[in-house]
Amino acid sequence: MSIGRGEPASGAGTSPAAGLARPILEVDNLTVTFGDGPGSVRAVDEVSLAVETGDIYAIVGESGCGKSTLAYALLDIIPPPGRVTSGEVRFKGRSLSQMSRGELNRVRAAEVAMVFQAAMNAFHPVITIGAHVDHTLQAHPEVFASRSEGREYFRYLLNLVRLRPERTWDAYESQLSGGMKQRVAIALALVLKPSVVVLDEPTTALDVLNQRLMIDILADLHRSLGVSIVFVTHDLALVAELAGRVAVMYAGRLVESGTVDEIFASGGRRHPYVTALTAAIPTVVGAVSDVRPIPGEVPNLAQLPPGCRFSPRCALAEPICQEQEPALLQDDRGHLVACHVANRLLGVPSK
Amino acid sequence: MSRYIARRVVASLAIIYIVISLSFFIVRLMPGNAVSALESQLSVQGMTTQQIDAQVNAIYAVTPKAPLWRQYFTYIGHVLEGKLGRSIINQSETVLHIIANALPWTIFIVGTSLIISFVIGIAIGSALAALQHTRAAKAVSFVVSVLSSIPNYLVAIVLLYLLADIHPIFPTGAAYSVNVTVGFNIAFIGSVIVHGVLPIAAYVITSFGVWALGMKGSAVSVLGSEYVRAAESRGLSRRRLTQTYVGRNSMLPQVTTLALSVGFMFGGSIFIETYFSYPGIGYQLDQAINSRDYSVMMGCFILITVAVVVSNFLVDLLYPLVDPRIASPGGARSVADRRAEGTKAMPVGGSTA
Repeated sequence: MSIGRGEPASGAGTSPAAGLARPILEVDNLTVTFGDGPGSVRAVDEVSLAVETGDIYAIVGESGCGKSTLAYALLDIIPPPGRVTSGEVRFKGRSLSQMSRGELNRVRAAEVAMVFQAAMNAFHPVITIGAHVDHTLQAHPEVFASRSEGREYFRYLLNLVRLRPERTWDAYESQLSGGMKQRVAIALALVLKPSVVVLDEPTTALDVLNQRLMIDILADLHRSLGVSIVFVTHDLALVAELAGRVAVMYAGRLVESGTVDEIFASGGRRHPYVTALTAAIPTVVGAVSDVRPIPGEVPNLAQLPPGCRFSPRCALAEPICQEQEPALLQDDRGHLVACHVANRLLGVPSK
Repeated sequence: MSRYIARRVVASLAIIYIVISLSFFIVRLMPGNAVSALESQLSVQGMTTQQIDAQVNAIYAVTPKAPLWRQYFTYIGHVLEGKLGRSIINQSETVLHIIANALPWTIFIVGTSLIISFVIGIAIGSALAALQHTRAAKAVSFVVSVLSSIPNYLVAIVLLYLLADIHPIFPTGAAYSVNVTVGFNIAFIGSVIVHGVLPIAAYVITSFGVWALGMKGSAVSVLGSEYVRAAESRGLSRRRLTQTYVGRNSMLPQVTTLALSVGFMFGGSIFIETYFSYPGIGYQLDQAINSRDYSVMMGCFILITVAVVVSNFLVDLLYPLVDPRIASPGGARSVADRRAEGTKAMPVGGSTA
């Protein structure tokens, strides 16, 4: 089937109206395993989330919690030996794992585009930026009437990310600064007018000025192009400023997801890990002594503690936390938390 | 770019000059002094001093009685004119003539082997990288590593024993049969090919693995790089990915190595040419070393040096064409991005890492 652009998915059994209502990107019970046998590791463990059209969705977690692997899974480009062992990713209701290679390649970049962590390494070092764009346009001839129209659109995007098109087109990646590369990577990801763009750590490699610029650009692109944005980060300031919805991961598992307000509002029902994360950030005006690092370290995914994975580091841990893995429970507004203590304190009913 | 070329030309000429000088002084300074050894040898034969001087001059291209510095400049002058002197053992032959006769055979044998092992090696190496997680690839990798670590003269002996001695399918040595007339005719060309099979086989069997392992290594590292995954995420075709993104970059180091091997090719393969009595440069060098024929040795060393330096130079010239980073390192990194907008200088805040 051909994938319609700017119109509802016409997948099997999906009426146009239902196509509009359903999330554009769904992750359903996804598990990604690296290796097999006893040494195998589940980098992503039974994670579910749904990105609605127009959302800015943040996936938050520490290094090694599986958030980048989750991002790769959204385009089915998990590096070997990793593979999806259960669950699926659906784009407009269609499972990526059931698509043929040709269909998948049409979805990649044209529908779901990715901007890689450390965009520094995201360009082939011996071909020009223009050649990258041409290759991408060539792989998706259905998007533009002609190659020159596509190039024209790329120039328009370069202006949006505040770069000078004429200097960028013939440049090699080694001739661009880190901030410029990151912005070229974003323009390249958007050149086929995708409906979702996935950004892996969009600000991590940048200095504060470029971080500021990146936030402005992303907010701008979201406004002017209407593209849904999914980004993976450990930078809570970026999340607070940009995201509408947030999913927090810990050791491969989703521990909390909800709107930005639900996650950051103090006093609400919250996973103790998220509370600890926010307390671990220094502020410009506050005293350094107010910063409380999280004790202990992220567990080795090959040797997970029994029960709740955060329990060895958790200030609120109770005996049950070491015995039973907490379920991800939802309140009536769709706010999900996986914590025995938080869920009991607020009397959230079990499913 | 022109400054880059100029720098490379000067460097190459300097290296050639240094090696020629070293080869002059080494012969002069060797224990027993090769030149005076020849002088006494000639005087035993009952020659007059003038005759000896003339003979020594003809053989080493030096005037023995002149001061060292003058001998040195005379020698350099002769080498620049292409006069490398005469063979000590066979004084009717000039060194240049010996080299000119041997060189085509070496280029044929080693050049053919190089091309065959390069093509086979790159093909196998790419396949190993593409299938790196399969059992078959691991088994092939093992076999290839073993083959590439066997010395080529052992393979030469085994081949000689099996295919020339026990089953006399191929000749045991020489470049062509004595029964054919040298020239452009089918019998001669056929004979050259039949005589070339075993030496080429010995060379290819032991060297294709080096290419395969090198190609596998660089292809695996390119395959793991972020930009290949990024290209994949843009939905590029498999063909575009393997050729432009993986292939081109993993070939870069192999091409460099190939160009350098072409330089070393002129030195021939001493072991293979000796075992098959194949009249190439390596064989001549071996003969010269055994008979202390210093002028032929010097000629061979100069040839090898010039060939390696020239091919190095060609690599330096060609590399910027395949890898633009070499010609202008750093390039025109611009600060335009900082100036293009009025960035508000405001810290974004901390992070959890």
